[in-house]
Amino acid sequence: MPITPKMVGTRIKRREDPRLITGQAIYTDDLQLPGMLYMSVLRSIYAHAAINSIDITNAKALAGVVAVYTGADIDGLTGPVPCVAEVPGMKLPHHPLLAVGKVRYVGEPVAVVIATSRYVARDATDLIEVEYDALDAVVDPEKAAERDSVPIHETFGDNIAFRTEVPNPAVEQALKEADTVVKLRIVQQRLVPMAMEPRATVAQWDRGTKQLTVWSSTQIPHLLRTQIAEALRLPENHVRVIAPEVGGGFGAKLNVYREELMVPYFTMKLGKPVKWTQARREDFAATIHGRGQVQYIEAAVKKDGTVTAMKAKLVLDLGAYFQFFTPMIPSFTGMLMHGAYKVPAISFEQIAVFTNKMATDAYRGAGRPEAAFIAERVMDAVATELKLDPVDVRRKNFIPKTAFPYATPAGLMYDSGNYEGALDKALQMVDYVALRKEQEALRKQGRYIGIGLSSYIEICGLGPSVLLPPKMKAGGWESCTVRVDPAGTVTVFTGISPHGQGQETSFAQMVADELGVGIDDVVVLHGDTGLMQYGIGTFGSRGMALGGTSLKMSLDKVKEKARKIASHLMEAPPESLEFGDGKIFLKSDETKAITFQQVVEAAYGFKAGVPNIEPGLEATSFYEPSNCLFPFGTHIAVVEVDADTGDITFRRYIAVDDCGNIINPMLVEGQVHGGIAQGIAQALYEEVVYDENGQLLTGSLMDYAVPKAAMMPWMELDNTVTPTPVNPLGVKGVGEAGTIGSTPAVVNAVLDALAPFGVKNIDMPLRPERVWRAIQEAKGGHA
Amino acid sequence: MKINGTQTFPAARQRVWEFLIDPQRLARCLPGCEKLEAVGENEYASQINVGLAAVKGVYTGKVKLDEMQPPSHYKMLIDGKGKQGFIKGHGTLDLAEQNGQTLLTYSGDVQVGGPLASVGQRMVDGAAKMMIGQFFTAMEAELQAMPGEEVRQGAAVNFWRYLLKLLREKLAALFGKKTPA
Repeated sequence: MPITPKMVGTRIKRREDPRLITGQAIYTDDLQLPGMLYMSVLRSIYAHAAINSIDITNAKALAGVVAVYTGADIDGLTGPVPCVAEVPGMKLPHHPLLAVGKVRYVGEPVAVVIATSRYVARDATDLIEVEYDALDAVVDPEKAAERDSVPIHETFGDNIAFRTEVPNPAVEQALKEADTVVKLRIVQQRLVPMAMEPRATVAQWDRGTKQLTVWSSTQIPHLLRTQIAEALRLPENHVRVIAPEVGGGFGAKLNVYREELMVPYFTMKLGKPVKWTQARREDFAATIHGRGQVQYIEAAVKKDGTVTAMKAKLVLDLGAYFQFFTPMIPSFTGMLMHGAYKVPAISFEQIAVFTNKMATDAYRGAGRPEAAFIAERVMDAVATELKLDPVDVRRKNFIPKTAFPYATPAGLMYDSGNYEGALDKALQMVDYVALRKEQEALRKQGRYIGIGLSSYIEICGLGPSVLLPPKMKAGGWESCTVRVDPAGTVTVFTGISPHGQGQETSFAQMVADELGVGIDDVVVLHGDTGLMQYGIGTFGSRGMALGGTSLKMSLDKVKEKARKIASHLMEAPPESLEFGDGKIFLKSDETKAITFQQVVEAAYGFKAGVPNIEPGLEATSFYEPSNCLFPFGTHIAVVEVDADTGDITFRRYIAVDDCGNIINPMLVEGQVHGGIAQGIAQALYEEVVYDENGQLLTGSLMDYAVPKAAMMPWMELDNTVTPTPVNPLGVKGVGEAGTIGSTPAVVNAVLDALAPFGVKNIDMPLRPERVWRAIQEAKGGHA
Repeated sequence: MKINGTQTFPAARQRVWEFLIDPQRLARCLPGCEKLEAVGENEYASQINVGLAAVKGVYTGKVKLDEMQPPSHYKMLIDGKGKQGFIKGHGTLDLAEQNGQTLLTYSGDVQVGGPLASVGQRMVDGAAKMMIGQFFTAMEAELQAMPGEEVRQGAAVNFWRYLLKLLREKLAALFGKKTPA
């Protein structure tokens, strides 16, 4: 056996981190090109207004200003901002690069200044005079659907973007026959994805070769290239997109924004490189928001706690325009609202509306946190209603582990699962029975602790190409090239575009194990359309499941060729050979070996080529998955609520996640930590607030409560491992699981703590003031 | 943002009314007011300097008086904008005679937008209250002045005048005394 220990499955420190934590990483804003110009965007201060006039005279006169453009200057000269998602019957608003005639949200780009320094550009935007005629703003999504709501897009006549209904007579029947019907109204507040690095784009145009290079802080360099080429009417092979170091995306950068099209457009127009970097305040107003749903839920329940049907009406606050996937994101919510539970019949209705706000789109979890919240709140509401233990209600309704693959009522096929396994482990970790006794004892002392469960599932690893919209102009597969260099080092060119997920580490672990080379001999490259074959990108917890599988396929191909070469050199049959320790050896006799380097040299014909074998040692693979993946787990939050102040403190936080096989446990933990933090943030702290005139009140980090480390619990993590049969690695995905699982666990915990007061609902975020009010109202006092 | 309240002035109603339609004297009392000029009948162009946390700036705009019912009522419409956003609002002022003094009742609705709202919103209510307080303090001083007497006005003076008044009221409340007129 090889002496080198296996890399896969071990806690290898992220190879990315030294450059990140020592300031060596190069982000888009770090780029400096000769003759570079800087773009600044003038944004609407009105949520809804007609533009009467724009006077750019003073801005243009400022020394250093190269150009000022308004919507009228560029209208029709480029394609619009793309939305690739399609929902039957949806209205697709025209999404211009700069507002023309009208503004529809606070932060909408109205004009740009391009100048020789970023400060001049910024100063000049202040000199642009815009005369607006304010119009009534549409802010409340439920009111937006009403007839008398002022249409945001006049041509549509109303603000209903689409209405879809999946009726199901079985659901109506079940609701009639139910012993109890549990009803919930849930508000999924808007959230800011809040990448540490705001959006940024730089472009350069080579007039001679007619090649456009765009650096952008994006999760999807190839899809962005396709869209830039289309919008700017360039052949796609004349556009190169590079995603340098990307400081967080969380779905927000799974988009093509106005500025990402304007920067290359103006670069070509002016013949000089242009840079634009977003300010934090712009990020609040003009980067997509997540969530934004009002959910009305009904669940038909039998006396024993069995849920027989679920029905949802989802009001979707889409904002004024559509971004890349805007109308599609909430469709995950309806489909998955029964979660890990065998609810025989479900039906849901979506009422999607335009509002005078920034668009919503994918934010860590993207439609699934909203679904898991429904399922997990329903389970607890059933327990409260029937005075059952929430653990028992979950056990009663779980899809049993013997039922996989499981066809869901929404037509999905859950790949694998053992929901009770994760629940049992989490209960054991928290010592559930003892904890319930402690809770009882503390209540007698006037102290209120709450135990909140969430046995979530989610869908990830998107996915079979048929599930992705044709307008995306690429499927749901992923790609990878493995190149063994003549020196024996290995370069991986992955189609995914990691930006914090750690695949430079996990992929190198896989290469090291498969080819028997040292991990330091492996370089993983990504995020450059000039280097990589087409790839889809990093989102929806797909990096390892899809990118990793295409890597595995390429490694297999490289190994097969290396075996043939070794077989020729060693005069042994290919199937008798094994890789390890930088060698290829006979399985039956490890002393009969040649070095991997000898094989590589033979492959590249250092002395002489190998007969009948094409020179070189590299392989490219495109992996098309047969199904999506369905990770799961149980999170348990234990909180204490101060009934006098409404303040919430964590006592414990347990997370047992099952993402199938694990390549690097440390990376999995990192993902779960961050995911939980963002999920807790939704439960307790964060909320985008627009006032009744559509003014963004949470427009800075002073007003938007991104939690600090001290506001987080100590997270006790563990896993169960239920591999998926869908891919050869048996891996699912874990990038979003923490966010999806944690929010309902925390809310359930707080409501459990407040059970003695009879508090049944508090809208998120559960700020102390809201908790206090809920207690006062339940007590019958005046809040 | 809704604004409303009352204020009693130790002066005859006519005198208070005249003050309230005199742009020069109003300008001197309005905190940060750099300009208030008649541009038409009951219509004024204004320039006011407001600093609210990180959003400081000059706002230019129009003030219009409407529904004039001397000496008891008018409606005020304001519309201003600056680099940091806009202010738009309307309100009514009513004057009633009360034991030889004048009771001013005001009520209005002000909308702020742009960075002023997204960064300064938390401070807007407090700032508005303080500005109104400063204005009334300054106005009181104007009303008490003899005809022709020049009253010292200006942001700094009015700020201290306002603080002193607050202090006086607090002390009076503390000792259960009536605020000296």
